[in-house]
Amino acid sequence: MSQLMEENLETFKWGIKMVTDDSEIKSYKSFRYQGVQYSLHDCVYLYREGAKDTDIGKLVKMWESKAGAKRGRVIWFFRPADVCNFIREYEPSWNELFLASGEGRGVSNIIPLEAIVGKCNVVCTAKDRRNTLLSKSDLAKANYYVFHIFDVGDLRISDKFPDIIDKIKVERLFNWSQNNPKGNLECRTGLSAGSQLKVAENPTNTAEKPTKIEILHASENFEIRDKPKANVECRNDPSANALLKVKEKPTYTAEKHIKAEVLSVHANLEHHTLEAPPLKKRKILPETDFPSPSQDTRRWFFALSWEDKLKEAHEQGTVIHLYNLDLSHTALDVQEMISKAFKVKAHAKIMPRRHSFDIYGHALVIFESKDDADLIMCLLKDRCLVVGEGRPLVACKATLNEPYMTRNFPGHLIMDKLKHKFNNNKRKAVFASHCAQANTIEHEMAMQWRMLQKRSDLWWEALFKGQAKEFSDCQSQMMKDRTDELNRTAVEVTFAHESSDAPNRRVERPPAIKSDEPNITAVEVTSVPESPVERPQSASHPTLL
Amino acid sequence: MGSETEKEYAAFEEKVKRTVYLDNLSPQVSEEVLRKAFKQFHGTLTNIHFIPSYTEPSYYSAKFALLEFENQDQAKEIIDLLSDFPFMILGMPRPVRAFPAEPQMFDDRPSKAGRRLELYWLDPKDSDFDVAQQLKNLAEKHVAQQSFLLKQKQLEEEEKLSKQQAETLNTHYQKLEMINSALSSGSAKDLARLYGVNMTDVSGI
Repeated sequence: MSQLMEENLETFKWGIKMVTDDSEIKSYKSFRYQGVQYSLHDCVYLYREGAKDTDIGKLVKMWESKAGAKRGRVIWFFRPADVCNFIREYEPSWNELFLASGEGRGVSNIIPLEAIVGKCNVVCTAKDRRNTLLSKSDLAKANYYVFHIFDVGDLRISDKFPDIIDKIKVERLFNWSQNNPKGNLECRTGLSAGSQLKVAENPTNTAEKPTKIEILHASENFEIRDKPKANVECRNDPSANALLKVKEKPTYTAEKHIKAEVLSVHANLEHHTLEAPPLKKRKILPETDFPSPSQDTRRWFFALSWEDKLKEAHEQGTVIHLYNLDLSHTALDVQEMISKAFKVKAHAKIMPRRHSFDIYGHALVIFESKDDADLIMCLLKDRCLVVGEGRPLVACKATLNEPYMTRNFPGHLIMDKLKHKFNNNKRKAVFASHCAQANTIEHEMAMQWRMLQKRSDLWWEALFKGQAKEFSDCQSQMMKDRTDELNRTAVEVTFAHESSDAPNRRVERPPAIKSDEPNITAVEVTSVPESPVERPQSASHPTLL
Repeated sequence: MGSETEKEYAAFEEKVKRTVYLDNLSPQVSEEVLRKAFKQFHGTLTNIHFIPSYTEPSYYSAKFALLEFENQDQAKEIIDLLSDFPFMILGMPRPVRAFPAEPQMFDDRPSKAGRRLELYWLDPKDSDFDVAQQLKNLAEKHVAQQSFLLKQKQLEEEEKLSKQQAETLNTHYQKLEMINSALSSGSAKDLARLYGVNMTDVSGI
């Protein structure tokens, strides 16, 4: 088992090769590293030894050098912290990035591919005619968004994207549709250099726009450039001189041209732009005042994985465990609820329920500050925030568990003595997943486990059903009270006609009708029917005497 | 917009139908392991997602996964197969179980179309405040009951069975060892001669 896991961590496998005329350097379109598939133009997290945070870049080229070293070229995205000193008047969002551009150090670098620690989803929301705008769900899935470029020469941000960044055409750096396999990077002779691909920027008239094929030429000068960390004195990050873990610095001085590149995005783009909702609905301009959640229902996910963010939040005390949600609520619903009720931003994730009969929905909500979290817990404790049809939210401190990799698992038996035997014979016992055959001890024991599993199903079912009943009983009480209260203001007196032979007959009243007066006939006062409903104190009831 | 959410939800429901829920997985099971394990069956796995359990106590170590297949028939086949034959992944003899997935097992479900979110506050002076408080207390109690059941009953029973089986296995092993050593050391032969039993009658020797 551990053998399998180790193998997984170290694997690096090249994917599709690009055809180039350079026999020494092998360029690729994709590769697989540590179990994750990376392709050209993917955005990746890169880790520098000693850095506080990962860097984010867009892979624009991947190759294997003659010596066998795996290299890639990335164009950098700057985090707000990197450029804060230069953009004092602009307040970026916490998940906004700036694309590097211009002439000078820090636009791109050559990196060893082993420095990659993960894939990142960065979308470009720039209103550039060359950029394809994405659908709401795509935007919601993104980790970061890019709206501006940061020019390293001018040291300014701008929302005008130049045509070329680091000798790469900027269209390649814009958004790609998820379906699009990043275009075909094969050499196609026979295409004239003049044809152009027009990206339909206005989503409403997509079908009519003609789409042609665009051919890109890119030439690379492989010089290492440093990221200008040394220039920027940021509050948090003292100047770390920015070389990634590049052991040697190869400088390829010869210029290389990639042959004609065909972007076959025709069909996918059309599909893509049809999906994009009209511009005015998706105003994602970074505004200093946060748009109210009812308009803006998409939510950005944290840069780090949810697990890491959760751990951090747990340490800082900003996470709350919320429950008694309806099972049909989603994370977005919860976030909306929080912002409606408390007017604060929050990040929620629903905790999935594994048992079919469990009626409680749980969520973990991360707030921006500990104060927010504490305040909301207090509010929810003292008062009641009721959602939907009578489910008051309950909040408590989230207690997170440690990862369970190391725990032993009851039910998996290990025969140590057998292991020794095998080791003597130099055989590595590898466990193959299998179905137990009948007539073996294994099968017999498996049946015992099956019995236990079935029994445990039964006791869970019993518990949940009992709880559901208790809950619905209590809840119906509340609903009844609520409707009674709503009807309180209306003064309505109804007299039920009682049949003469059954003066004590209980009169069933539907809760909506306001009739908490005793049912009195015109003459008799004595027979007051028993009422199953709790009678609120009402105004004077007519007494006929 | 309405149709988009409807479409999304319809796609989600379709996904649920062809997803299988696996439980009783060992904590050491990873995606690779699952892929390899299910390769031997008919059906192509398109996606594996482990259900995270953030607040479940760390003493309960079993993992749970959602396996997405290409279509509903494949999913059904797997479920039936795993209920007929006990399937072992990464260890025995605790078998893995498969069930059809349900919407609340997914943590990334889209919202259902046409739902409105209503909420209102209740203060102590409202008449049904007490009932609401009762409901809250009830919810707390129930959640506590659930975690108690998990620890006291579920885990305890599992560990008990495991220990019991380990002992049984041990005794089997010792028995076999004894027989083995008796045969190899020749004492079986001596005993056979003593009792007048023909060794060749005993099968396997």
